[in-house]
Amino acid sequence: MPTESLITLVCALPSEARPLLEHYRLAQVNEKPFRVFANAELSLRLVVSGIGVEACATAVGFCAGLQTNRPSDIWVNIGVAGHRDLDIGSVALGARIQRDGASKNWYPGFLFDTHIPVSEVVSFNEPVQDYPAGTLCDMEAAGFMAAASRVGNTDLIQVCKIVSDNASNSLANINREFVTRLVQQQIPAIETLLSALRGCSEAAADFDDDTARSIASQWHFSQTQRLRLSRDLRRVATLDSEQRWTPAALDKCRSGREVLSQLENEIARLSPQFAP
Amino acid sequence: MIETIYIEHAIREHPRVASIRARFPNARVISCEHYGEVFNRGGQNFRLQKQRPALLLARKIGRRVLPVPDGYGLDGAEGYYFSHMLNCLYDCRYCFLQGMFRSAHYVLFVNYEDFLDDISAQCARSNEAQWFFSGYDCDSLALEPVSRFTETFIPAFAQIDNAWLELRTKSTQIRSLLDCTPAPRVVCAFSLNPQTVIDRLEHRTPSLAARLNALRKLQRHGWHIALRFDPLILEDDFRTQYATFFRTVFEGIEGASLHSITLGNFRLPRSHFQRMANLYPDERLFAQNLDDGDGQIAYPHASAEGMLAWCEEQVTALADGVPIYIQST
Repeated sequence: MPTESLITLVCALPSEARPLLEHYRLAQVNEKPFRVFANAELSLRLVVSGIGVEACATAVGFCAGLQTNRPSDIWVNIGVAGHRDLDIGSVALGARIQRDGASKNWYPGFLFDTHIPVSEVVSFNEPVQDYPAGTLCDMEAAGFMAAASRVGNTDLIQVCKIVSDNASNSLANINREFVTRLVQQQIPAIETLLSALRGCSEAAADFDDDTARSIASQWHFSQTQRLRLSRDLRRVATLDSEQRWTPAALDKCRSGREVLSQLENEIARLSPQFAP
Repeated sequence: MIETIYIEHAIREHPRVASIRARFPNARVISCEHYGEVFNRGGQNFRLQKQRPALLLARKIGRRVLPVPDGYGLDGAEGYYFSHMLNCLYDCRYCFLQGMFRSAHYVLFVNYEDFLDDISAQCARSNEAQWFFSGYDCDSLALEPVSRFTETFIPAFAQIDNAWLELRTKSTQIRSLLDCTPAPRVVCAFSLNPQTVIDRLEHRTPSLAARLNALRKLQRHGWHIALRFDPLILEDDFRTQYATFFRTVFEGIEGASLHSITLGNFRLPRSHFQRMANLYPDERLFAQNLDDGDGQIAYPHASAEGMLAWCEEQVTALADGVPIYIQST
């Protein structure tokens, strides 16, 4: 059975997180150094990172360290950003993310259906009002990408920004309630994005390894043998299209080595042959 | 078909870029500095990207023409390959590209003229016939409506007296070849397998019947045709399947006038195999009993030898006198 992917949402501000916590019914599971919230099934969690590239990268690293990361896990940075021309409240996905003054770029993948427009994102150290053309201006995305792309699959990492200020509506008009309302209004778009990412992640899912765990508990295996056991059990299951083989065939084995030898014989027996 | 196009900033004004963009007016276009930022980054999943590959338009710098690995080329002649494209529209489970590249996105290098300059320079070093293979890192014709590769390369090859070009393909995109006069030193080499193997392993490729139809049209039009039975795939009913398959292939084609035939078993470099088996752990091809020797994963020696000898005998009987080459790498 494929394992379900874990979605981690990363918000800089409590006011960005609030509507998501309510919508997904997330409860706090960690207080320090970062507040982390999760749903009852532990399939979706949210971390409040605080402002800035470093804070965001550290929060991602902290969350990644809470459990074993799987190739199908999804990471999304959600927050507000400035843009010279886009309308207040509009949403865009980061297509190319850069830290102000640095040359490194990150490119999240787009392997799913979405009508959300894309934009370049530049992460600044300070709030900006002199918006570069065609660019979302934030303070976290570069840190998020730097950290998330170390622990996750680049194609399952997204930066989702909601425009809070532009050339006509300056930063001075922003307050917590306003930010919360902007995120609240884009919950349907965020919901669609997460659903699309989850569908996309299925091809990257790893599999539960219950049979191997059960066998490994009955005989002694070194770490290398344990990996081989897992791989060879799966090979037998793949080749045995009529599913006749069961672990009971190993009952008479006296050691882990014998188990592996028997599996090897089974693979040879199930493999196609070219008879001379 | 293409929903995302990454374009290197330096070639954003290139005429081929403009024409390709015009084919995909609804694609999201993302600027990058170098295609490697997207193609070679870590943390990518080839299997996942294969579901919806993006197109990367780039300029190839550095070495554009490379010697083919030992055992890849045709007997005796010097062989080189060049890759105007990386990756393929098709999704063949045995394809080594899955193990070689981190990304399944398509890269198209638009500076064709630079490739041709390098090919001319290579040919100027000798009067002997020199072979160039365009289908090493991609299918030569599959993306033809977008790349318009043959439109530029075939007339250029006709101008170089000692240059031979092999277009290796599973595609039926032959319109551009039927619209022009066959070039004397260009060979259209079709990769073929029984339909059961195509169904199981050559995903998104044209059927055997469609490929044979394309092949016959090209042969009637006057193009040199070659057959590539590579990789041969071992199944329990191998002899029955391949005997029927070979008969089908040679029905309706002029066997005696074929340029060449190659035979090769399924084999992969060990490092590529391991990556591919991790990508597709439930694939029978990777799960079965295989030998690991000399850095290469292949069928057990006795089976491999037997398959090749039996196939050579079958093919010789159907196309007597056509050169048959055995591929080992």
